[in-house]
Amino acid sequence: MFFKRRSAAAVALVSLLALTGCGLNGGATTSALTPDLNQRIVVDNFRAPVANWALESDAAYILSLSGCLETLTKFDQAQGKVTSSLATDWKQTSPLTWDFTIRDGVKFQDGTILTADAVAASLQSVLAAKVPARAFNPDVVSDVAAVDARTVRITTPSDSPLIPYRLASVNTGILAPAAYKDGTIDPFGHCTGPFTPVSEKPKQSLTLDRNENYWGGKVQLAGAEVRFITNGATRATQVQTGESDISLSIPVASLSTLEGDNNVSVLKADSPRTATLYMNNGKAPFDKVEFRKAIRSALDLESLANSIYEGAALPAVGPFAASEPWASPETAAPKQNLNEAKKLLSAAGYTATQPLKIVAIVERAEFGDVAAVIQQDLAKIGVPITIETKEYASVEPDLLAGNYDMVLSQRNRLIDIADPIGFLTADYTCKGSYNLSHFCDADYDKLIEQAAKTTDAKERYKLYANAGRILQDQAVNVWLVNEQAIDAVRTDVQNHVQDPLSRYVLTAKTSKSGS
Amino acid sequence: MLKRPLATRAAVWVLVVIVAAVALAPWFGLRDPAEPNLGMRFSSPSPAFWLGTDHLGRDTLSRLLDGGRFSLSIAAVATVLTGLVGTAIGVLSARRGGWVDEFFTRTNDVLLALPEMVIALFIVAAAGPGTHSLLLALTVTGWTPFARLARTLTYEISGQGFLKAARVVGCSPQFIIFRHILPHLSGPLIGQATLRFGQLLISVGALSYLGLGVQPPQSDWGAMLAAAQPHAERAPLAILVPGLAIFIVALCVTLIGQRITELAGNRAITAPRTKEAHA
Amino acid sequence: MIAFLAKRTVALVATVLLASFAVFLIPYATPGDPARKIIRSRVAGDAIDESAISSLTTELGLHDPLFVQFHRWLGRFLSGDMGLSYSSQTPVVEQVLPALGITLTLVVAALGVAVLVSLILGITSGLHEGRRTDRVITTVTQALIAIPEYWLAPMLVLIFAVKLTLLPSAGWVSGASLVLPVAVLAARPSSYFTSAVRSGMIEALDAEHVTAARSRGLSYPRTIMRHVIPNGLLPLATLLAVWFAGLLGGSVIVEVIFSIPGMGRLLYDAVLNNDIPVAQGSVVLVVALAVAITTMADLVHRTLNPLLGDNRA
Repeated sequence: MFFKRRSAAAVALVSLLALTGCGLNGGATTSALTPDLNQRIVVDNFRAPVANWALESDAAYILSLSGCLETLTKFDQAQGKVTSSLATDWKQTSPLTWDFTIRDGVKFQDGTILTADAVAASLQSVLAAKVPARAFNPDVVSDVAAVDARTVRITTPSDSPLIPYRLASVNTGILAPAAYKDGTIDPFGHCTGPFTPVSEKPKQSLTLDRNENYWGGKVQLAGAEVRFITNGATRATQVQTGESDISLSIPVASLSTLEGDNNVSVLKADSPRTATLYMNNGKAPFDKVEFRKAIRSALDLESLANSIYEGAALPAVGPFAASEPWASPETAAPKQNLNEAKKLLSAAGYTATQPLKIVAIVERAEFGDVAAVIQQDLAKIGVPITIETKEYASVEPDLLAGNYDMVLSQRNRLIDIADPIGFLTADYTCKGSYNLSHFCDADYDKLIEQAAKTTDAKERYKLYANAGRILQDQAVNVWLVNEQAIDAVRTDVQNHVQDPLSRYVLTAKTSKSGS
Repeated sequence: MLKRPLATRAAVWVLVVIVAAVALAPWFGLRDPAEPNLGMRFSSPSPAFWLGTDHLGRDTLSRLLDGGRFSLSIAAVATVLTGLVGTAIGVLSARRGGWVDEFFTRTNDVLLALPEMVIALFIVAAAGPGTHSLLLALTVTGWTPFARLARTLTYEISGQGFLKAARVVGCSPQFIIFRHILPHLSGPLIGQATLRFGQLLISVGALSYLGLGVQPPQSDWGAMLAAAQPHAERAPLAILVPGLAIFIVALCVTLIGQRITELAGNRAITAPRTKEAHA
Repeated sequence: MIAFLAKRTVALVATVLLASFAVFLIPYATPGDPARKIIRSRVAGDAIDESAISSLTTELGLHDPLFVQFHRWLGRFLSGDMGLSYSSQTPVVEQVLPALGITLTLVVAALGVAVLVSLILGITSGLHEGRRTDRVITTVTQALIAIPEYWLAPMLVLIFAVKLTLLPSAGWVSGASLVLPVAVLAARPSSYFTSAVRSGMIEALDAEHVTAARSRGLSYPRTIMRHVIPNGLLPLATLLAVWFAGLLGGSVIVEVIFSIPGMGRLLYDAVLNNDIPVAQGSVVLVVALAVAITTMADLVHRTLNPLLGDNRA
């Protein structure tokens, strides 16, 4: 199944780590195993809800990680498969329909009962959103209806094996009917999860209390506060000072400081994000494959991974991470070879005239440094470079219009569902809606078209692997490093399981030892 | 009044040494400030790297001197620009009065209320990052103290007999401004400019700290500080040194500026209607 | 006086209108499509459907001519409706007022500290003019002007939050959260205030009525308390008003470093995300308040110095 080889890396039981930590505070280690049911914890999250809890927006991630919002299915990173949540069972009843059986005995936090009607209404409101969610929109789902008290039927416009994955997306979270009023969404008291939101300080924090009637068993924490701290260095500092118990998404620059702290465990997991040097294949000199290969040969991915990324990233072997089931097994990360690069340059007929421009996206603090290193590497083969740092949103139109040379950005391949078909279609097919590289190859398009119709996962992955090989052979972009998701947790927090996509953080099992 | 010629003299010498070091740095044969050496990250001070290296293995000393050239020259150009624009506006407001004066006073109020960094962000977003936007942002937000001072002083002088006499004998307004008003303004304005240089240096750093200033691999003191901050525990010098550099230069020019102001005999400028470098 | 106030009110309205119109130009002056930026602030990292962008553009009326948009906004604003934020779809008022409350708390605390510091140091310094105490105080306060806050703040966090764990490193949680940001914010005004109080004191000490009071046989401490200090504080009053007005917009650097959701951050993010209604609401509020405060300060100034003409506006 999915992510077989990831299981060990993705799971980290902090309670075990707590035993090995010989902390400066003597008390912490001895009491580490007795959860205190009166404890509340603080989670520092990296984003604030901008969209007033609209479920089709990224605000759904915050409700999900807070232990409020739940979905019909869940994607279990450790087992690498879709597991049950609010739905206990599902099957494809015809090529165009899927039936989901709703779990019995679940109550919303306002006391109303979870019914098929409530689920259907909830999902329909996501479908009707003005800017629909990527995982669940009218292009991939044509209808949602309750067929009986416990069954919800999803109808799709074409045969769609991926529907259970789509219903694991946080954007398809289920809220009570009372949550939807006058076009706005009020999650307070309307979720099914282990924690009930009680108050919100806009742009600052969300406070939650234990849901005493949680269907999934006794909730081990009395409550929690999720704080929205956009500055990564501050999140790192707060977990160090104990102001937060869990800090999500730690910037690589803070890694060594936290790893030296005995009261903090640093959790890392493979993430489906790859830092990428995008090249504008539609513009000279990048229209020549030799030139793109020369750029790739000039870069030293391994030292990038070890230095700027502090070893918390792997040199990229291509568009996929080596641990993914659709990566072709034989590929290795490209090695730096300046002589080869120079040969390729002359084969491409390149002569340095105007310097080429790299735009480094400011949303990732380390990209400025990555660009500085790339600039030096390319100087060695005689390709002059200038660097500009910019907000992503302000350069996006230029990227889509093909009005750039190179851009350093970062892409999540599995942003909504655990299958790369959306990414491969949008980013690299001739008509792809997000084809920043302006790459177009008939063979590639044929492979993707075929994969979209292939129900058998193994067959589909083979096609993905072939498609990935074309991208790497054509040196469409330089995939630099596969990033890791890094979270930091105080050692007295127990039963915390890291989710590389930060969807599940506060659960019924999360607990904290008495102090 | 305050008599501290000794402190002022010391400040002048420290400033001369720093400016000379920064200006002459290219001839010292230092390492390339932009060249990363990923094998030598976070080195402690050594004969090869006097101030150690940063998180990319770049020489902190060469970066300090190279970054200083940028910080100091931008602050200096910005001081001249804001001085010229501000003085022109101030003299114009005072001489013309009426709606011209009212317009610039209200503009001053708006600029006072809006954070400098927000205006700078807007300018950088509109004109793209780089030296030109940095200077534009500093000028747009920084001319007001000069304008207020020039306006007040022009009013004071305008009331005096010799100017009235000049007008009576038929001197042109331009002649009056250039021959009579500006020479009287020069002393206090130079004092003000010296004080403002220190504040503009801090502002340049603030803009770079927020990523609105220089573009990598070019560096300045504010950008160095921002980059070094997450690594403070591994390379403390990299964060200490650029901060100290800004502090020392700003302190020196403040001492010198105060002295010039005292000699020019104007105390009004210790209370300018502006909020200095508060972002 | 009434003529003065009327003139100022007209100026205030004109200023606010101009400033809010300038905000309208943001999406046109900066690169990138406004509707795209708004969607981007809601969802990260994937292709955006072109139809979603064009429908949002139509819905928000971004196709309309600038003056039509401005007129529409003005009409709503005059009826007390600041509109909805583009990115969060929540009322602008609900974002602006809490941010203003936070910034006001911060500013009042910082200026309070600065006034306290400057009273102690400025009066001491003024009374000991030219002596050692005066020189030490003057040098220290001048050093405060020269410290960049983006250096002071991380240093204070490192010492008091990380090493000593005495104070919170960031956030807006309890009273303790105030300490470090206030310390950083108060540094520069403390310096300017001290120098103003000092000059005021020295001037007041030289004044004729002080000499007269002394010659009438009033004791030195009484003279200082009755005649010198009250007059010495006059320059502080004006300066305080100016700083108060100047800090209303918040301090972006301090708010960023300490993760405080005040006006500075709100404005900064609004400009960054092209959230025009939020930017406009904040600008109007901040500019109007600042103009009102400086007008009030001028009024006080005129009352105390009746000889002053209108040219001191």
